[in-house]
Amino acid sequence: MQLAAGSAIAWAYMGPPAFGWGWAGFCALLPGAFTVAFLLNLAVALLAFWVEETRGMEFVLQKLNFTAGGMLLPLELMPDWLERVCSWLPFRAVLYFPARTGVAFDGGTLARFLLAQWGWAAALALLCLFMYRRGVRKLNVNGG
Amino acid sequence: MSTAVSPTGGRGGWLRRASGVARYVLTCWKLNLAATMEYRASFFMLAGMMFVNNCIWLVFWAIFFHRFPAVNGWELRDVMLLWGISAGGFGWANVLFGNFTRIAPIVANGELDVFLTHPKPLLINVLVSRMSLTAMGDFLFGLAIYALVGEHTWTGAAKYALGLLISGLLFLFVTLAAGTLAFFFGNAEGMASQLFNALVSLSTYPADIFKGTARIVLFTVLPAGFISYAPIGLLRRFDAVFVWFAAAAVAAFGLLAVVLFHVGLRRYTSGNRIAMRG
Repeated sequence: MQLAAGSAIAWAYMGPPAFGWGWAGFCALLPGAFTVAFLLNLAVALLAFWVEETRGMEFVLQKLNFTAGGMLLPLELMPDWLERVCSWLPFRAVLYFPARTGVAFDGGTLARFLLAQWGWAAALALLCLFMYRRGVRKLNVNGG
Repeated sequence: MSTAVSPTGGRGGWLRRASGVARYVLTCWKLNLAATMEYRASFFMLAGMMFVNNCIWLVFWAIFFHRFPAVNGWELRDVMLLWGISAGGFGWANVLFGNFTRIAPIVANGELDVFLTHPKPLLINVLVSRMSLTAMGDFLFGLAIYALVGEHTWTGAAKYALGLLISGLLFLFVTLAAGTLAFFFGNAEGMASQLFNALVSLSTYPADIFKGTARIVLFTVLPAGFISYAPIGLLRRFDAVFVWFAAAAVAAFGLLAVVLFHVGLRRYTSGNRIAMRG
């Protein structure tokens, strides 16, 4: 419903999307985007082994995706120093990479984005594995 | 022998009943807070993270205004006050009446049964039986914004408090009215949730970026405009017309929410679910 409403409003103001080859790039980056997003959420969820409530950190992760991930403001519009910091974080791999490739397709950029996405996916997967193994040792299960 | 009922005594005196309800509500708030503080680490983690969450939004707006110094007359300070009023109002309403966002699932899942057995007014009993932990972070954020960029005079403090009151009451009544749809449509949790999210989202953007039909909607059926215009119409300059309209919106939605709840309650049917108060 949100996709339909947002699309209707965007189409009304900007007309139908004309991405051309951008559609192919957008679709190519989606699996990596979903994977990185899943692993980020998993990493926050695994903190539940140590803290009782992770909802607050889920909110913070969501907002980092919105801001450092380039959803609310393209990263190019940020101050140079902040743009450099965000380029070293995984959040732009979730939303910014697919959106940027969709509207401005470039083969070289697509390759770099794919490399960055799956690199982050591998790193986050290792982090989650490490957190799970450490967390499982601390787990207390109460029967009932 | 006179059969007149004394307002201050005698069986069924309304003042006695009202003071009894007030004492009950205060007790509920004290118990909710005590239960919250049993797990202090969780409480501080949740409230703290919500504070950080709101700060991230302000960082975004700081970056935006760094690039675009003014938007339709709005500056960074105005947006900070907007977030203070919006988050602060949402915060106190959710701390004191924490179940107002859960009316739809409570009704749909038959969880009203446990409240119906209590000898207290149903709606107020449902609303005060829960306190939101994250909302405490929102409320503290609202206070921090006032400390940072608010007008530090008695008048300024009074205007900010009025803004928090209007904001909180609008969140409470509009969300409550949306939640009562569950009495009429059964599985209305999705619809109520979307209306609630729309209200919260639209109340955090400067009102002057919306024009035409969108602006009309924001000051009528989805009154987020009365929250998002407060930095201009209440804090920067006291616009009496805006404040009166805001008060009228609060009264109107309050009446609508209470009437919808009690009309819907007549349609409520109990289920077999065993529920607990909370």
